[in-house]
Amino acid sequence: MNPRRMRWIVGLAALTLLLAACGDSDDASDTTAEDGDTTAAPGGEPSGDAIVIGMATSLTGGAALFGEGNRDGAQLAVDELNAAGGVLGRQIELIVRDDQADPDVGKDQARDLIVDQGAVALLGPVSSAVGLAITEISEERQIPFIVHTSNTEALTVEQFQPYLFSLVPNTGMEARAQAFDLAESEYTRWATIAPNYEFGQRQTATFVETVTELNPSIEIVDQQFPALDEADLQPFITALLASEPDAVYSPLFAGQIITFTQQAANLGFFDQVYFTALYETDALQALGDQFDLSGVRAYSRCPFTIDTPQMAQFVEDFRAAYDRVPSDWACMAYDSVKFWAEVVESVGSLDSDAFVEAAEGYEFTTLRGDTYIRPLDHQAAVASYIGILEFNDEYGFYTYSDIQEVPAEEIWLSEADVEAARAAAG
Amino acid sequence: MELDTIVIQLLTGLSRAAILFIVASGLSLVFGALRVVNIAHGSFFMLGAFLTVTVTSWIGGLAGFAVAMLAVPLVVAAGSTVVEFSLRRLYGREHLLQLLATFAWLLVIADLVHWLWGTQLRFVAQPTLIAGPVSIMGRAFPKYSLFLIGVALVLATVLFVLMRRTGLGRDIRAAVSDPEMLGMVGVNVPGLFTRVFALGAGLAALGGVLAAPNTSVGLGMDISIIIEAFAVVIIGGLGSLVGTAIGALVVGIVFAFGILWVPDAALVIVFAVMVGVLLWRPSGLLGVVER
Repeated sequence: MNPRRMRWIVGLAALTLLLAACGDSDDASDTTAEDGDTTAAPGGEPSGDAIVIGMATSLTGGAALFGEGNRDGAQLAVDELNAAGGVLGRQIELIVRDDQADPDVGKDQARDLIVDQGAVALLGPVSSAVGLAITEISEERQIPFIVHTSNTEALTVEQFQPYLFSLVPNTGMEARAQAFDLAESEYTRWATIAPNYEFGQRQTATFVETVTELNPSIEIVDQQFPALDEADLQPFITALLASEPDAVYSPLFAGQIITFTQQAANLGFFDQVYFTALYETDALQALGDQFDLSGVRAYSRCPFTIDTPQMAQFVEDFRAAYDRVPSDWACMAYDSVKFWAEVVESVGSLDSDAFVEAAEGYEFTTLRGDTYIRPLDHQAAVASYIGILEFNDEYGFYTYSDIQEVPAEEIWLSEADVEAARAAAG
Repeated sequence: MELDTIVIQLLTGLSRAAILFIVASGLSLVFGALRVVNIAHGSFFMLGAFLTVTVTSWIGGLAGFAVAMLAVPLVVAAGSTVVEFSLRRLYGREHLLQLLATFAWLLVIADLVHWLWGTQLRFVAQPTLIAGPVSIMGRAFPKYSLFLIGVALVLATVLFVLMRRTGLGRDIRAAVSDPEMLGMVGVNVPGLFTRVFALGAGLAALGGVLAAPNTSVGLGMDISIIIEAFAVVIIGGLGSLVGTAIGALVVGIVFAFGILWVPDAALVIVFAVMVGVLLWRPSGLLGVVER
């Protein structure tokens, strides 16, 4: 620890002492992450003239890693746009706020970004629960809201509103991609383990529904839903094993998939069970070479090893800017900023309704290849990716090899199903 | 249900109880002696885990982990005296003020950890000697879990001897029942409080060191542990070590079997037990009665 940091710590400690000594601890709650207000735009001088886009994402707590990926990916896109002259001839300023993974906070941040900061578009968040909260504000204020990480299918189906756009495969698409691929496998006794909230429940429900419908001989022998912040998964893993499944499906992510891998390896899990899970870049990086994951089937939303020229260039630029490889969350946030800028340029103004009109059916190129926005639900035709893990000597961790792309058209709800689901929800 | 499944689930519950006991015993001691409800207790746990990441990156293998087990609790205990000092004016005041002050510390320490270590998920490898599975009734079971159970047993014994056989233990027990009288008989009560607080923080940090190689180390660990630690001490009774041990066993084992038999309601059952205990004995199974 260097002396400057030391001084900082002492300073922080003194400040809190002061607060406590005054007996007035009400101010205490203001100490949440100041860096939630990151407004730096290294690419261009933020001026009164700049176009502001806002992002509410998680920068503190367990999901902070994803939020940082969001922020850095989006900032890189903004820097590139600014270097190339901005949008409509004006520089772009990205304002990022910490939603603390709390729907109420997310709502407040979204409102503040629009009303006080003058944001003309919103990006974010990590949590699907926050996404559902922010989409209400987007509708109320008639400001486009592009989701790239939170992905509950409710955003584009039951809770759909015209200013919402999704550049991430939603829970339904992701789960159906897995179910289609796995229904014909040799495994019939399946179990699931997923985080206990909107995303995990929804994805697992779709997977179970689809896979058992496609192959009636498949039996679901156990379903576990650990709390999102559960740090000890061992009792869940031993309970799964007790039901003797052939295979386990898991949308656990981030810290939980790391904990799961560690604890499952010690329980002989991988020797007994075929495992398929949402191993995204951040988790694979943290796991390094600790466990033999060769041949494990994994799925993700935007692995940086996708073979497109755009991705190759992005990985190079991202590494140059941040000295690490981009996570799935950085890739999709980058795509979202670029999508927004392209549509605004094509419209020639910042008018929200013109944006929506132009964006419906809009065809564009992402890091993942060519795509378009389906007018009915504003879901981008983005694929779900399945890969086999293979150790990568260049990076020092497991990456996806042999990537299989499941196109959106095969896995999203048909237009009739979307309309039926909306009608059923009233 | 086969016997091997039950044995494995029981051992899993015990290893969960081990970490809970180590963390919650510190929380319980601090409450018992200082009457402070320390929301920031989980922050010491998180600091312990992150410091383990750093220490084991400097010194590898079993040696690094052993150094972390010894040094990290001491470092965190020493650092916690700053926190204790800031709380002094709040002793004897209403719990709400203490909650706010310790909540402020929770936020400060979370930011400090964020700023020193960043958001990257961290992984601590288990030392080879205690890594991998061992066969129990033909089923694989982690050696590390057995190690955790062992450490908790040793620590429980040490704490019991400390409380019953040493001067410090005598003073702590006296402080639990009547701190004013303790001051009148010439014991330096503020000094005692500092030591108890440091001991509590050190125990939380030790819990963090031990949890680190069995989980992913990341932000948010502070909150997730504190809720369960509170459930443990509320069941066992704030201020009682034996009560904390019982509370940890109840929470760990009830949770493990809850997951096995009624997966949807496991967490609910744990908290239902807590509510039941509170209704039956408002100060916990072996708790000291609030003055």
